[in-house]
Amino acid sequence: MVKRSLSEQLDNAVEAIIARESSARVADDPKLAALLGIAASLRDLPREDFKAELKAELERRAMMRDKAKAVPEGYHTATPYLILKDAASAIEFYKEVFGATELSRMEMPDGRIGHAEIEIGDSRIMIADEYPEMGIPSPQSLGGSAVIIHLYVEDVDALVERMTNAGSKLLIPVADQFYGDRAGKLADPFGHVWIIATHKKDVSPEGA
Amino acid sequence: MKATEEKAAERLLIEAAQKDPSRFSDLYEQNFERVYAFVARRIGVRDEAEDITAEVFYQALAHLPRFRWRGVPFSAWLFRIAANLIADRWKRAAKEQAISNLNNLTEDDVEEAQERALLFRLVGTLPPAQRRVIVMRFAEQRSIREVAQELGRTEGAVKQLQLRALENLRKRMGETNG
Repeated sequence: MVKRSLSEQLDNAVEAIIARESSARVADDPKLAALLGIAASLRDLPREDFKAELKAELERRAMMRDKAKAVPEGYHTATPYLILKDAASAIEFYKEVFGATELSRMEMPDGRIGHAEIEIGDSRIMIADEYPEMGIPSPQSLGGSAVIIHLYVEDVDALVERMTNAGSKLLIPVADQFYGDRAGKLADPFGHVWIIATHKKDVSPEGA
Repeated sequence: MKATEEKAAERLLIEAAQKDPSRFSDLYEQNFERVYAFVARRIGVRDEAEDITAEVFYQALAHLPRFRWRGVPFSAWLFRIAANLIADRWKRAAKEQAISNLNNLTEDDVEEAQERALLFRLVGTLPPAQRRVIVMRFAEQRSIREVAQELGRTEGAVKQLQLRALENLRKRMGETNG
């Protein structure tokens, strides 16, 4: 009977602890007092459902992180994709004049390049041979290019000289521009058009 | 396990999770009770304590790639995140003194959270009926009558189970700390 009354007393105290009543009193009985210490700590016992739900949510978030990045490492949002007649020679040309690094090359069974990537400065450029039969013509087949690729480099004069020496056609000679760049425009031997520039001074849009 | 072995094991877990975020759940399992104990002690309202605990682990997962292992326990980093989140919440309630205490966590603060975490874990080692009573009574805050109905026992029997469970927990806490 003593045991029974202990469990009753304990439950009364537990009730007060759970309700966070300030009257949750210290028990006189040392045994009961020790148990109430445990009970007071247990008041913050976490819900098992909460622990499981949070774990599931963390696993879901971890999986999202695990997924491949939408913009892969090394790429920017926009990347030029140049179509060329004789892409292999063009890659050599870009290596020579721009100091480009070849990152990858995928040759098709007929020897044409299906896809290749080079890097100039911090930017990648994708390259492929033309496939006129599939509606993918090069500038030479089209008789011109409607796109200009703009490069910022350390020394525009030196690069333009290298390009012209290597057979590029100077379209607009290098000169200081009102917007703060020193720039020139060329067509490379494969028909792609480039503006090569070095930024010289900051000019506000109002001052331009 | 010796402290140095524990540290080495934890370091492996951290590095594994940094390489493969799905391994974060191991770190979560190891630290959940500590963080919850730390937060719940300072945030009396259960819903809010759960919100903050969840946010601690979301932030830890998000910032894990930048975590640099410097020999301090992973839980110290989690406590720091938790303390910042609690301070933010208190700032809105303008509790200046309490925030200053949070900014200067003592060893006692950490030990107190570890102690409670241990107790929470020991609940899982109780005989099933006792464990059920403790979880329903304390975590779910159900009345003796509700617990009795759900377990199909008398209220007196549930009170007895509650008593035995608390006795067992006290004994086991003593053994573990002894």
